[in-house]
Amino acid sequence: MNAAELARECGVFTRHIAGRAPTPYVVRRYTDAHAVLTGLEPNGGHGRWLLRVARVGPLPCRVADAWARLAAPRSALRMKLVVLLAILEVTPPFAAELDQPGGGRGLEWARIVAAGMTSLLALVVGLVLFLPLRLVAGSRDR
Amino acid sequence: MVVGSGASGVHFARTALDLGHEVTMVDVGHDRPAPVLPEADFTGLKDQLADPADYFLGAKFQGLVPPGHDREYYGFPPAKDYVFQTPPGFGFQASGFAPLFSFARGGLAQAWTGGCYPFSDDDLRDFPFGHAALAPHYVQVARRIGVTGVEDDLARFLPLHDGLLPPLELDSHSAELLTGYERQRRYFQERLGCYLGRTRVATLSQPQGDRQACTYLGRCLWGCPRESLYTPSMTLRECQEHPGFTYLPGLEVRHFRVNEERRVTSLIAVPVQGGAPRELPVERLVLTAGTLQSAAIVLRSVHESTGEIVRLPGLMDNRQILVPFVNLRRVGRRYRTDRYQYHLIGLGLAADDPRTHIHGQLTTLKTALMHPIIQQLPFDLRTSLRIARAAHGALGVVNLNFHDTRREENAVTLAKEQGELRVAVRYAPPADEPARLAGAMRRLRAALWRLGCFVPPGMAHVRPMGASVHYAGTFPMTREARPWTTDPEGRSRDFPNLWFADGSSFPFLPAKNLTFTLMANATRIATDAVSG
Repeated sequence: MNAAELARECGVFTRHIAGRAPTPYVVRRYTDAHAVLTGLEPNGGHGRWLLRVARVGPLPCRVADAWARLAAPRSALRMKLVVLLAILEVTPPFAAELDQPGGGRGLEWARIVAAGMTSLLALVVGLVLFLPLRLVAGSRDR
Repeated sequence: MVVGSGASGVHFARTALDLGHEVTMVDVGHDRPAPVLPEADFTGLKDQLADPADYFLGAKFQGLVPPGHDREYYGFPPAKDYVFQTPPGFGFQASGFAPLFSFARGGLAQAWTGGCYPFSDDDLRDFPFGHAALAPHYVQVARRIGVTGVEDDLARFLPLHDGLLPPLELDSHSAELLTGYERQRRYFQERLGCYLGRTRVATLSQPQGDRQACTYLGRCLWGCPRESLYTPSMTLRECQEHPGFTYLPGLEVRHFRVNEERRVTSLIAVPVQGGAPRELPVERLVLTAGTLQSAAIVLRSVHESTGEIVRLPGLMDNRQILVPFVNLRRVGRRYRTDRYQYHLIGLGLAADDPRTHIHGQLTTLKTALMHPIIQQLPFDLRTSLRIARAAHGALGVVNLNFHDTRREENAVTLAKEQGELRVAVRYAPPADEPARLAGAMRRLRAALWRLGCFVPPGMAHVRPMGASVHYAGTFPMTREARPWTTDPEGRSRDFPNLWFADGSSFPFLPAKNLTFTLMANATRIATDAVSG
């Protein structure tokens, strides 16, 4: 991937994880990571599909991520997202935003439940979308 | 002549110097980088560093914990890469064991968490001496390095000694857990055989010499910039100020030569920057290179002089389990990052045989990087992050330690690999281990549940053997003379002017970090034997 494509990917993934656009520093470090780390290239049809869908936007990314966590935890998509998360958690302003709970205990529990429900929904969509792709890609990969 | 600058080596040297001896220390001695922004706390580092990812994750992202890792809950900080940096050409073979080697100035304890746990008489039952023989040396080392601690319920596992500093401030999570235990002490002790108290840690609660008291920067894991958390390189620095001390860094000791009486006459050391091996004359040799490296030096020496490949049985290490937990009462609560990062609470699970009791360290999560944990939650990362953010101040990890015994099948030897003789380590756990681990986990889960904490299913991680880096047992101290053993003063029975002052000579490994005892035993050997 060239730098522009990585920057676009970083933008989508950052909005998925943190709900806002990345800073130029985050984009630079995300690009750097692709120059030194392995495991960031998909190694099969299913992995390519996950990345293709995830790059469309934050919502499809969440669907692909929810599915990948359970079905392909070592996929290139998950690797890219974990790399980005690691960069975000040490980089201002994301570091502070991602670190502390924002409201009271009741509100936080409510947010956890809401996030869990959304994730479950994303997983169901992911199941419908990716399971057939995985079966097809899996048989081709073999 | 002392080989290695780890916890044992520097305390041996310091004691010998204090007693008027001259000491030459040979060491590879990879040095730590200078601390960055020494006044900044953990949050301040993220804000003030121009390139925070470089500091926290490393130029090559070596501090990243990627998906599919072996479920360690801390990424290793790049600033401590020097601790595990090996010399050119270094290699080993291992089966059932994941050994870690250090060639750092200060050795493996440059990356320790400071737990100082004296061995009791029960722990020392296989040793040719009891706690009384070590007691004055525990005090001496405690005064040297600064150990905080109090008398509490853990004293039944950890003998008390003088020279303890006032304890560090508890973070609110640790304080709540300890209060919960104190309210239900009887239940814990009588029903669960579980005891909680303060860990004893080598971190200053008040200034000592050049070192400053802990000001709770939350940077323990990253390398305390105030040197409040003790590391052996500090004692090495003190030794270097002594006129009787000579430090020879940049040399990897390969083997020694002996004469007809099997006395060591010289050391052969290879410059790590390249060049011809150096031969250093020896009067008395003290090996403190760490159990595996000390064994490698002896094995290579025997092979050089006789062609024989010796097998040293009895290698030990503490099995460890990392058990993450969530304190349900703290979910959604904010936490402070300006707190001590490492463990402040210890835990003992009593056993019928006191030698087999289980010891744990309970660390509440404050300033660690969270991506190793977040990625393990069974959700997409956005959801996992939301949950982790709410639960951060409620998270903790217990590190359970289990004892080990010397067994014939666990050995260190040499093996040929591509024409090179490498140190080879073989280890197999005892047959009863799965049942012991499962029993301990049941008791720990019950104890944590009584404190309002929940252990997420499937997240406990049995670390591979070798991960605790508490290696011991290859040249055990024995009362009766046998080959490849030492006398009670750590003197080799095979080479009369050779001493082992590291973990090599421990005949038993209780469920405790052994570093404090390594220092005390090295001090004992320097006082009683070599000087005598």
